Amino acid sequence: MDEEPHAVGSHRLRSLAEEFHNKEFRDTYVAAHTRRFLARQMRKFRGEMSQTEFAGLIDKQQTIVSRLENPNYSGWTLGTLLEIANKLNVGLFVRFVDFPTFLKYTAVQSETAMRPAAYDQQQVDDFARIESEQKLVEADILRALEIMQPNRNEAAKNAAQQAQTESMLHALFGLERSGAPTLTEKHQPQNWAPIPLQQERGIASLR
Amino acid sequence: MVALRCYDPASDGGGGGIHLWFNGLSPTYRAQIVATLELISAENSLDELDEVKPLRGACEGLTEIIVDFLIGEQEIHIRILGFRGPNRGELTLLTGFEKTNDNAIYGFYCPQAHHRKEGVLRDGRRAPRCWFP
Repeated sequence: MDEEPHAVGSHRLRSLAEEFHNKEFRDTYVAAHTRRFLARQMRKFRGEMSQTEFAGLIDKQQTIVSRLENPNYSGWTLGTLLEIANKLNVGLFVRFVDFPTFLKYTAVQSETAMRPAAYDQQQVDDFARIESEQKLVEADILRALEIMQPNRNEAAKNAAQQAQTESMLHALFGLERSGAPTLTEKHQPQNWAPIPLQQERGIASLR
Repeated sequence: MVALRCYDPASDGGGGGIHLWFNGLSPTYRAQIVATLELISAENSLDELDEVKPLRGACEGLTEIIVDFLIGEQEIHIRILGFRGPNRGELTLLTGFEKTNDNAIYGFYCPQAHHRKEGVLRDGRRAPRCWFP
């Protein structure tokens, strides 16, 4: 059972990739997914509130809330999205992407992705601290590998990039990491611990 | 997560049931259905979803999945009939059709769905775990 989400994920990728050969499917899926996901997010944000109560919260009319929850509504504007993000104290992430990126990001339909938490200072501070510490550790490992195995430099950089991407996706969407070990996991000895920031960092500790 | 099962009795990857119908649809229809079913599958509970409704009357015991969308100005209403089960957290899809202006079409599809449901309850292999697309 533990492997099922991965099985679903890989099946989804393969099947959608095949369907994406057809431009009509591709275009419709992008529109349908985006509209339906946004509509569902609006419904999740409202929770137990009535549409009128929620309208008061986001400073809109009830009829607007009703439209925003309709997956066929096509009148979204960036301005409205930003206003709602502002009122709900959540971020907004809108950009054009290539299709592999689209497939990767739309795979995440967890409860956390569906109903993101409002701004939390402690959460942001912890995220920034952990991410920067991890990046310093990765930089240390890369330097150590360059000295120990200079010809494996490129592979090490690729692995570090993979770790960075996974970390970003995890932070953004709560995406489970893939089964493959990250660079840090591959090369850390047992009983290994991140080097404190204030301590002078050196590659000797990794040998 | 809601696990989907599909009535595909002759299925070794599709055919004979819900996938036979699905595979015959246009890319636009298929994409809309996929986007809807993906979101339904991601839910922990089907109770609060506008797209999933229990049916009454002659269709009692069945659940309807609503896939409404626009093509230009034209409203399209796709319906997939199924039932919640046979196991907890599962939704079995039995038959699908495009709804027209009146509800008479349910007079054909609800008995068909009931018949298929009985078959699935007798032999779960008629509706294996499935994905869309």
